[in-house]
Amino acid sequence: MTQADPVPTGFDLQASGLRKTYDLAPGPGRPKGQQVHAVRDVSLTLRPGRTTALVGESGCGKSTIAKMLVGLESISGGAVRLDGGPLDSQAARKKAWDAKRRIQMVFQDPYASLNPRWRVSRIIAEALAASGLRGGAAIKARTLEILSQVGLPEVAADKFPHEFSGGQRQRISIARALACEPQFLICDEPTSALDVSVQAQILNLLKDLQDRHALAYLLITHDLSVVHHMADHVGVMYLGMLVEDRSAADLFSQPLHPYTQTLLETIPRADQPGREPPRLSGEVPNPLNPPSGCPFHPRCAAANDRCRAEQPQAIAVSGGTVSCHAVEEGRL
Amino acid sequence: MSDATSPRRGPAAALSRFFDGDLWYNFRTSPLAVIAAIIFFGLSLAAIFAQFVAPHNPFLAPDLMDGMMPPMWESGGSQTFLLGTDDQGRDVLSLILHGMQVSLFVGLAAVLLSVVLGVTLGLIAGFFGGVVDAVIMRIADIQLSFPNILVALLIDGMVSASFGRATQAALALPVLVLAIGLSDWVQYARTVRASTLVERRREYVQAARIMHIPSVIILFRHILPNIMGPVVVIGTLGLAHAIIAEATLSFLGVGLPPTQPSLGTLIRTGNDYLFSGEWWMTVFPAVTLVLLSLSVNVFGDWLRDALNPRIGK
Amino acid sequence: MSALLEIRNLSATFATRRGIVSALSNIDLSLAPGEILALVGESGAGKSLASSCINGLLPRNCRISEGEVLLEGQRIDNLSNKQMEKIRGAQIGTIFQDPLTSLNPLYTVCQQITRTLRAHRYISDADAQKRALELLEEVGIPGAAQRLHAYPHEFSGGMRQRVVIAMALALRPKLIIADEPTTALDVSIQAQILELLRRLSKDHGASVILVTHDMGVVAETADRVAVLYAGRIAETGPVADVLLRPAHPYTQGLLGSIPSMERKLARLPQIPGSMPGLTAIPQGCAFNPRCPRTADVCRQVRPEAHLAGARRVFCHFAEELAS
Repeated sequence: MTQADPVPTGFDLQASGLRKTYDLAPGPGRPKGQQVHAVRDVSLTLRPGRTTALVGESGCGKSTIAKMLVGLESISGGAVRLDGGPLDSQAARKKAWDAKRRIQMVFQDPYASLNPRWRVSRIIAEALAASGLRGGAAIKARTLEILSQVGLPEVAADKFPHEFSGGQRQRISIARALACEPQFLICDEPTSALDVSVQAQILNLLKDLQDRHALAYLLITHDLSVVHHMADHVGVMYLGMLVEDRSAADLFSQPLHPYTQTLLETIPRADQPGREPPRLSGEVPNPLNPPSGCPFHPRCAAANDRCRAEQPQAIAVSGGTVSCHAVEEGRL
Repeated sequence: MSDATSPRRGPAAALSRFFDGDLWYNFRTSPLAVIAAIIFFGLSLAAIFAQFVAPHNPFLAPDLMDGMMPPMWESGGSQTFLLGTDDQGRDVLSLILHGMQVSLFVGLAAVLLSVVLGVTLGLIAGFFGGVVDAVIMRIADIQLSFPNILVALLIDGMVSASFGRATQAALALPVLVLAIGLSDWVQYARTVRASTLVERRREYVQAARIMHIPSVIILFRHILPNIMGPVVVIGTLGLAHAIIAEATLSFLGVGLPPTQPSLGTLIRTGNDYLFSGEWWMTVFPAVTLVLLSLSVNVFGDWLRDALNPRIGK
Repeated sequence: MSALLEIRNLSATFATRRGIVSALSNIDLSLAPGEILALVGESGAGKSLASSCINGLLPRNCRISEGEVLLEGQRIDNLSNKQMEKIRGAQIGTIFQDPLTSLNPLYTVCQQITRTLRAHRYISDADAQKRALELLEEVGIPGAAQRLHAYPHEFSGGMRQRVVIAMALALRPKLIIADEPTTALDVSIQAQILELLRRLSKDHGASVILVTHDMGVVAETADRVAVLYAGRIAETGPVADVLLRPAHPYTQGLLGSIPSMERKLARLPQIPGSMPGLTAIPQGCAFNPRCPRTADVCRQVRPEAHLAGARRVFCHFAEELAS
């Protein structure tokens, strides 16, 4: 992502031209060697104290990007660089980890992301030990410190995950991530399993922690109101591609891509009762059989023959880029 | 979570947590499980303390004059021998108690062996996948295509061929454990492999991988405790199976030597006298075997249902 | 206009091993023909349970302990399972959150719809098939004729939910209960399904009870809303009134914690604490430990309904807070 503000380069996490391709097992009606492109040519940068958001509907590839950034998924193409050095192997990742340049992750499901048979103290202690902290007393003291940072009482340390509510478990999950003193935190739908009043608590917590530790966030979500509240920079994804990639201020004040526009218009708004939202016709295409040209053209009102034939390239606009023929030709 | 409740730790607290928990409640309210547990633990206690409980010592030179005595309520029975005596004048009740001790020991040891083997191989196959997985699971498949009893006979045969009949008598017990244990590991490996495949995708495992926690630690500290539920269930049912396997092998004459009382050898020796009217020598050990394996099976069935979250409570 | 559905002083309890706990307490609601009423609340508020009291699909350890449910003036809360089965489908259609669990994977869509039809009506197979096709067209499945004999897995999530809606509509029920119908769907699909629900309610004059946790969904779909907290109604009234001028402190807090698309705040206003469990519902007003306006009376006396026009607000300070 091209960010205009002058942050010293080097201390960042950068993905360039990221691709993820899955080979499909041949089956009935499926020839050998068929592939799915889950992520196609995505670039983004995470910088200290800033929040980058990836937004899109289910299956658009946003969670796959998160997994590639933390090394849970192999990379099919492109590169991930930390402070300029490539993270191309587990060894390189381990080296960066040992050098205290760390990427941590907060998962969507606060029920599955904590080992149900471990007490909170052990969950946090494991993360502390993995970060190089030694000595029982030191680990215990630090555990309590971190728990209080995420707003949990000391007695929480001696309990099991099932004794907590969803919001509190997400706090434990965040505490585990913090224990490693990461510079980069990937939040994959951190609040979509939570109630809205609990979501507010967790989003406030994430903001406080960012201010305090100058964390770089990658926020992955389908909820544009959360993106609006949190993000400095937004990437809108559709079928594995970034269709619009701009600063949050520009994107929300003047969305350019037709998909971004419809997404913004279709969010149900509690503050506008009785509004008849415009509806987006059709459904997200099957990634096994993506449309030719622009992936969005079957659902786009502004699509013409060029959109159906030719895949749009990113063009520079205020605050970032957008990939749309209609915008390029001034048809919108 | 309320902040007022103080956390509970230590073995006493763990115990009180257990008696507070759903499992104990579920157990308390299932009469069949309670009856099965009482029978099983009653029999086990009697077997463990056979030396003290048994009215006679069957290993002391018996008086042949007491041979073939029927149970005390039959004519010709005596109050000294509750369930009668065998051809050598040994007290059947005492024989059963000592025999059960051996049977239970063989059963438990065999289950332990197959659990350790099966769980380890299943974990490795499920977690690492690929060639390792393929090799382990193909071996399991091959073994599954033979009946367990045949595998046990094979192992027993190989040992007696290489060590000779004489040493075999001394080695009988460990060989029996080995034969039953090795023939039974496959189902543990399969179950554990399937659970591991599910568990390794869970997010808490992914979180550990992000922190570069070594695979061995993830495998044994994270995944293993979370997949022990089904293992405990199969283990319980497997205990009944192993006890029966011991009896079968001993009955067939490839298990323990006739001089060492086990439920299997007792049934075997008694069987020779069944049609000459001395039914008690084989019926009482057989009834004990049925009671023992039935109670373990009923308890295991209950445990399987109780630990399965999908069956409504 | 007489109400289609009336719920009077409804309370429900769960039998747990620790004793009987109250799950719903003194719920009063009514629903006019053709009206869409939203039951909104956070997880554990009892909104799904309230809808189960209407269609009789209560969990095994739950029972209605007090009050009554009337459908067109007839009590339905004391009917046997068999009688209730006739009412479900014929008079009450239900749409669940996950379309996959309400469709049988082994039967085609056509078979499932015709079976529902033929279970309740004497109708020939050909007529039933014709009707199934009409229904699929009505819920907006493109190429319905070709997809009539497809299996559920051949449909996408949004299309599956349309099939479920078609099944719920099969017998033209007067009341549709939609329990989180769009929670499993993407935003753009959600908008389509909500629009469909609104259109069906208008075209057929069917009433809808929409159970949801999403205030945005309420705003765009419902006519009236009841906000539930800890098994009790906090506030009920016309959607525009409740959402734009919330009078109950809980509704105010809930609406305030939604990130705004208009303004960018440094911090979101948050309600401290979390919803109490069923075993620990506080004395007096259930919301009092989390309420910014709490006073002694809130800790002791359970608030009565304060009427303000078409609204009912269960708060001791309703008048003061509404102004």
